[in-house]
Amino acid sequence: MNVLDCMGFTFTYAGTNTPVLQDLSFSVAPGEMILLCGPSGCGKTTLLRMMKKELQPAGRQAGEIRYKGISIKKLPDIRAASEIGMVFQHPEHQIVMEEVLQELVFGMENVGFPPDQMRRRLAETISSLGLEMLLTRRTESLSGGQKQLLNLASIMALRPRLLLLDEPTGFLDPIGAVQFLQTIKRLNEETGITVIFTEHRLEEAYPLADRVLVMDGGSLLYDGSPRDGIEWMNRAGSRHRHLVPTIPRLALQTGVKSDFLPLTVKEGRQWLKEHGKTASAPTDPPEETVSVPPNPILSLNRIDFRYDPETEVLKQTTFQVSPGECLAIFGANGSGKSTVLQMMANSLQPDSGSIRYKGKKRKKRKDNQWHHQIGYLPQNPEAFFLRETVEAELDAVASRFSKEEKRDRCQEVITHFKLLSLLTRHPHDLSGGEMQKVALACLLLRDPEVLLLDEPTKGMDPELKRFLSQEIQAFIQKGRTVVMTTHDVEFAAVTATRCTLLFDGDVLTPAPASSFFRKNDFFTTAVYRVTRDTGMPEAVTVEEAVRLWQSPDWLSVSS
Amino acid sequence: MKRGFRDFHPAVCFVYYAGSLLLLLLMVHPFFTLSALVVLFAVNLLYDAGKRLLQLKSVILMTAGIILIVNPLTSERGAHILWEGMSHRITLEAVLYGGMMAGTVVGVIASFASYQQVISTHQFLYLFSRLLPQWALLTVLSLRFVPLMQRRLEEIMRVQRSREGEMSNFHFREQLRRRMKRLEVLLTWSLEDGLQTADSMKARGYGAGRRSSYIPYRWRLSDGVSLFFLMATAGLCLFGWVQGMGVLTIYPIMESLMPTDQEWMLLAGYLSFFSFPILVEMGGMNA
Repeated sequence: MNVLDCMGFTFTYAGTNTPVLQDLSFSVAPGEMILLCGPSGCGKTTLLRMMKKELQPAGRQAGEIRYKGISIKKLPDIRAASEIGMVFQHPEHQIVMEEVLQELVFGMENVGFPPDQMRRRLAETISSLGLEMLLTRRTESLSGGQKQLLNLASIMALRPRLLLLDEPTGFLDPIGAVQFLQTIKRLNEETGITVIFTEHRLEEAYPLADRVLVMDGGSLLYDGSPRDGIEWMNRAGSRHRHLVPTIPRLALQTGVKSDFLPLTVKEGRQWLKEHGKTASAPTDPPEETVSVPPNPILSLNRIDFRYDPETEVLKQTTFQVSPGECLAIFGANGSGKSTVLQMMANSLQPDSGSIRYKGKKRKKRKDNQWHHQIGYLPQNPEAFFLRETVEAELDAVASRFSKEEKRDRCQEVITHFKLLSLLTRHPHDLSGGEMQKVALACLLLRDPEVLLLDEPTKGMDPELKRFLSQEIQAFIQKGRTVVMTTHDVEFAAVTATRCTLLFDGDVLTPAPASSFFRKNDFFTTAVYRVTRDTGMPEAVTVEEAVRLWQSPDWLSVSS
Repeated sequence: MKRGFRDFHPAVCFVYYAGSLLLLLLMVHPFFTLSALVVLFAVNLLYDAGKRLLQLKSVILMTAGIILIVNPLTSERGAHILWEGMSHRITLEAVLYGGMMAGTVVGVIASFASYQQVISTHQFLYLFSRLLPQWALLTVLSLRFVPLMQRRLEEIMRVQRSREGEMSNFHFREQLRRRMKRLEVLLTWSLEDGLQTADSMKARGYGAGRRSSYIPYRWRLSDGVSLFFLMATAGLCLFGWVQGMGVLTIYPIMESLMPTDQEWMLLAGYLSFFSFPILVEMGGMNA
């Protein structure tokens, strides 16, 4: 019997007329691992919530979703809670208790497991997920990745048969994200649990899935194997072509006809071995030119900073950015990336050291020139908005311009960022990606010289990421400057001109993006991991690879 | 094994805090309030060396300060005049009354601070999730809110500081309006997070059936004895309160500040109630 049957399911939110889910029909067999993807706002999250009895939103339903033959609505409470588990996006907001142990047993207590059984389940769950070391810790002291594993463990302790995950790695750093997804895959393979998940990180998630469902506008467009899915996305037009993960995109864009499409790094290298001219000598990597940028627009000099006396966040941090460049700062969560940006935005003051803008030292806490010319996009854009609607927010930002100029500028930004449909909405009701986009529009409306972006791609779908990347490139073309912190290696590789790493309170000397990624093994792009040491010219991005391989015809076109 | 106050059955601990709150609010007398304050501070020192109180020091000083200052400034009632200006006089009654109110508020804060160190969310849910599931859920969520909101407010302030340049006018009124806006943003934002927490609780079957407990809170003899002690001392105080003792009558005519003999006895009972955790920790009750 199928674990889940979705039969002609249509759903309309209360108070609206357009359905968000339209006539969905599919079945899920036991043990499948299904990836649900599609652009932001396509109805993925709503569909997942429809599968969880307790979280079904209010509205009109037509058709039916059945769990093991029983309509979700008619499932007994206890069974619904224990057999269908759900992990959400934000690691922290899901945690209820102060101590890890209490959090782990929370679900089991709710459904009334006897203490003996709880003990057994607990022992099994923590050892299978490797959480022994955390058992006595306080939940607030855990890292994001650990918190998300704890959320998973608390659900796994209930022995669910169906696991729903709504972008579970959205707030994790790359290492934590990979670890989490691998754990899910392992559970799927070892216990046969059925998994349905949504993800923005398709690079890591896509190869894990047994089956892919692509949605758009509330309808199911594609349902089939991951490899055929790539072909489908590639044919289905630009909106879906963005979804294709890097490695298959590399294979597709070279134009080589091949009946085997690589999905993982290993497969990619295999593919390259078959289709590339391996006998050729490796090319020299471009020589790194370490040059001090000529006229730095913003420079930090020997910055020390600590939030409390015990923990030093920044130690003698020194670096500069010049007009016309985009500097990407990498670093683990909690390494002080956001602190550096806030320091540059004049929201935090260093304990010692100096910050210069156009050669002038910052002295005042309230520096008007500073606030006019430097725009700061915070990590949580919720903190950015003060007004009821997006329109009012734009209006307030432009308040210092004359009436005419204000209208023109607003109009331009609205069309450019495609904000027309969002204007009357409350900023906090937008999705994560949309919120980032609106905040960025507000910043650009001010016409700043420098943009400071704190993890700008968080919550963005591939299409929006591409838009942001073009936006940043156009901005630095005008001789302006962007400094961003990010976890997104692929995004930085196509967007940034220089990259650096913040580690142990200090910034490494920034290096040009192409040479920065060539020096790393793990902390680098998928394309580089595919192409390094293959005898082919090494590349960091898909575009670079296609360009390098085209000229002397490195690839054998026939297969 | 030595067992402390925190190892008692959650019901006993809860009765202590509920009783403390009740007595603080009922017995409004400088002697009573002040001595309760001293004991509550000591209880706080016992469990986390006063760290939590130190974190709350600005809140404590501000609320206490405001009440202490505002009350004598707004109330002119009373016969004992301390200072008389052109259009205003400050009376001993108003100062005393303000002081007692401030003391009560600080006492309530101190007992909450210590509550958080003694009664865990787990124990709280154990006590109330069967009785009043919705209410218990709401309480857990709001308790989680406090530290979260503190962090959030700091974040909003920092981000908004970077946007100050957008505004051309810096009128006092505009500034005030923007401050209020920040608080509004804080509330909507935090409420949304709260909804996510509630979702995660529901998704794991909260309220679906009868809750069991992983930690077996067994009712022991010492729990019974302690509960009896707490009930007896609190009962004594309540009995005295009904008789009109333990409360300083200020208006219309202020009674003598010094307690009567009976009130001294009542104070002894009152203090034994409040110092119960200290007595337990010092005595090292064995179970």
